[in-house]
Amino acid sequence: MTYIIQTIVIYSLTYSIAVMGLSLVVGYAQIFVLSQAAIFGVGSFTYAVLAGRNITSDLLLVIPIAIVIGGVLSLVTGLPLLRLGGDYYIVASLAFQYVIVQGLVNWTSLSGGPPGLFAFPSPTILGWKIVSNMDFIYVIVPILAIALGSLLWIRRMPYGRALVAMADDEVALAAGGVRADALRVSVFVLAGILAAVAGVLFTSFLDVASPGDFGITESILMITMVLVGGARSLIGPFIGAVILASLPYWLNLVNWSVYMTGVITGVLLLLVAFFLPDGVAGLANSGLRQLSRSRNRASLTAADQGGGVDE
Amino acid sequence: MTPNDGVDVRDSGHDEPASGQVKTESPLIARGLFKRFGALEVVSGFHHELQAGVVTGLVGPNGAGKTTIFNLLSGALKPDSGSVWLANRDVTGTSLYLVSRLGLGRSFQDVRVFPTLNCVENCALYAQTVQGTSLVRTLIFPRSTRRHSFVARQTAREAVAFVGLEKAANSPAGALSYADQKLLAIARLLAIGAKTLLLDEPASGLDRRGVETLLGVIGRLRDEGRTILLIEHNLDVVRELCQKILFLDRGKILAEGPPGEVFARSELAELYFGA
Amino acid sequence: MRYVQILVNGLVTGSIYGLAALGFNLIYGTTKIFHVAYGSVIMIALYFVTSISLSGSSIYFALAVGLMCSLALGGLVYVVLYAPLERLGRNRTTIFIAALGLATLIEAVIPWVYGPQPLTFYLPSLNTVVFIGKVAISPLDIAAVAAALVLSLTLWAIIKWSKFGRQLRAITSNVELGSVMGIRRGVILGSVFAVGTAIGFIGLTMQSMSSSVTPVIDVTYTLIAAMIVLGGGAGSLVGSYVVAMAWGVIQNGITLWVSADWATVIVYLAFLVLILIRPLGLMSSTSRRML
Repeated sequence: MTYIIQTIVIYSLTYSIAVMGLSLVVGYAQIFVLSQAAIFGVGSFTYAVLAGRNITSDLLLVIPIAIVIGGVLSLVTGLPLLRLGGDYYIVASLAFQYVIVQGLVNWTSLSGGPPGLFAFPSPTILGWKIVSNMDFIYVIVPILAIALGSLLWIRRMPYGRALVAMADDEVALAAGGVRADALRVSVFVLAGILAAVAGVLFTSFLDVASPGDFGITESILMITMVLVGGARSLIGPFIGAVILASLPYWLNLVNWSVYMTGVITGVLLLLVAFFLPDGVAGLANSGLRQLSRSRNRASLTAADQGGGVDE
Repeated sequence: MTPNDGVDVRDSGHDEPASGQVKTESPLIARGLFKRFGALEVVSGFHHELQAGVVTGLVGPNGAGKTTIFNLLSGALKPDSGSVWLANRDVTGTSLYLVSRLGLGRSFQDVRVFPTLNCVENCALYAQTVQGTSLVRTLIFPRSTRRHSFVARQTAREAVAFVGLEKAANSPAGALSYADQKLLAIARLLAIGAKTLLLDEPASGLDRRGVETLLGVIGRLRDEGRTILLIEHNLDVVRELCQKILFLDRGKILAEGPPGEVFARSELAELYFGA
Repeated sequence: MRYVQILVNGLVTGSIYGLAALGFNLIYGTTKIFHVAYGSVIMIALYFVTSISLSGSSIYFALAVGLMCSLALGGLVYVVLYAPLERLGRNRTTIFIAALGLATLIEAVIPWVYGPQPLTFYLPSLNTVVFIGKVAISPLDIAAVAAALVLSLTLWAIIKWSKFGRQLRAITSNVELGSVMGIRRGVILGSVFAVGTAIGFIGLTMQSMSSSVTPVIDVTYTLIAAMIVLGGGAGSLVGSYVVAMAWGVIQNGITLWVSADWATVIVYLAFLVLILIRPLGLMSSTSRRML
């Protein structure tokens, strides 16, 4: 029994890391990212390759490497993508998601093809082998705490102020001398970095890196986690991650079909769209936001031309 | 697009209003600005050189193109032809965010405060520069970023005090009254260190008391030597504040001069109030 | 001779994708709604066809039922999902989220009901391979090419010249007129969804008749349709037709010279490059806009 709880905890915490970053992008930069799972997968394969080939399984080395790879990939995909408007961005994001994962699959020498890679050495930190579930939890909790703490700290810094302002009113932001598109790219990269880190943890725990785990369905799942919890809070996506990542286990317990995960995800998205466009945590902020509603972004990305009001 | 070479008026320490200094450069010059939207030419050859330290009023009937001119001057829109010069720098077609860093402050007809941030934070956002906003710098140089943030908040508090909003300093801007939000919008421009301000209908929607407070604030800005261009429909405000007005109709300046003189011309009054 | 074969195969594939794009384009170009549940709804109809035919009934009957289904489901989605959300004043992102939810829901329910294994159905007569010269082609191939061409032209003609087309153009280009027209507007937009879904159904059916039906084909179908439509210049029938054909040919060519797996990756990358160079799609400036 406790084993299952531990596994649920590990899954939830790992996904939380990936989803925290995503919530910043969706909530503040207001970009609907559908390629997060791909970056998650890239982080995952970073561990798989480094550990599987016995190069290193030390998390203190693998994680920074994954951060660099994830960050660069996000930067490279983000810079061009974020200039696209609305629907074009959605399609491009999905295309990128597909290209990255399928490209990985095709690169069989690296990824082992569709079945992926498995059976890696256990992750270590400076020689200490992380073997049991509890060991993992001792590692993940601090990492999550660091990530959460960093994000909370950043929010109080000028950068965080700029993010909130960008979500409120991009034109006024520009009048304040802040460059919105650079800001968007930076959040995007931040999210990518967190996703890559989560991917490393995920695979080092799971012992499998299978491309099928990082597809569009997973990207949608992550988005759902963000939306259900509320895109503009950091606690919200955490709640969403816990609920949805642990879902398969609850279903198993109650002997419901695995497909219920998809059903519940779909239903949650529908509910959010119909009743709670701001997510659970957004209910508190909705009052303030009403005041600036007129300039709220209706598009899916923000390819703003900086237009003012015409008389 | 003219890069501003990384210049930011906020970098040179605390902003100092140009009080009494003799300036050789004109703060803002518009040369032959044209802009059309589809078949409609909204701005037709707008040409003016703002006088330093003077409050100039931009008046005219609705649809005369006043806000469009503000958009052209501040970089929110690119002119079809013509040029804009800010303190001897060609800023034609430069984006709004860059022009703002160069010391041109622009307020909006619909206020646009950041409702989620409080007053001080609203101004601090305008006071902080790229140094603070860059994520990379925040992560790599946390201490210097904190210092920067502290300085920005200081500047912000002073700006908030200048317009008299100290009591509401920590309230979310979205909870402020309309009149206070308008004052906050002006405070932000102080925080950004703007020596030249474009104010779009600052008095609209204000009651008697609000207008008086506003007059006080803008008057003090004028006394500090800042250059102000004002769009305003409230003619009392115009007469009180402006040393000079430009009468605009259909994108062209029809008349310019002191308010008394311009308003005395009956054909303009007809145009303004409708025949 | 291989080149001709590639060309022919490419045109066939392109026609199927063209049908996908045509249906999507009809909906997107007129209602401006990014119907991300497009493929999923079509897939429901397709599964009906499959189960009916597997239970022994005539396949023609199954196809007819499927077509009716796709029309009905298409209109239903508009009435039950998009119209209420519009009335609630939700923004585009939220509407997209809802459609995404619907697609996810369908993708989970279908394998739950029918199982995840691939199913097949086909008309043996359609799949027989005939040789014209040295080129292999089947009646199904010809049907696909014909269907794409005929439907594209018909649709274009209807929108340009018929009363329905004129009403459609009026509604979508003038929002106020649309809201004044009230229920009539709903009926027209609902029909657009119905017809678009039906056209997409034809395409997916043809695709499935030469391969198989699995519960995951909807996402790729929708994605390819969207890519072709946006790549060709949203709303432009000519644009999406051209892009679809090019897509088919390029994909088949690469399959031959490299591999099938890389073919899809490369074509997707080509789309990304196209969209970055011409952010509004291929025909955007000389766009023969539908409306």
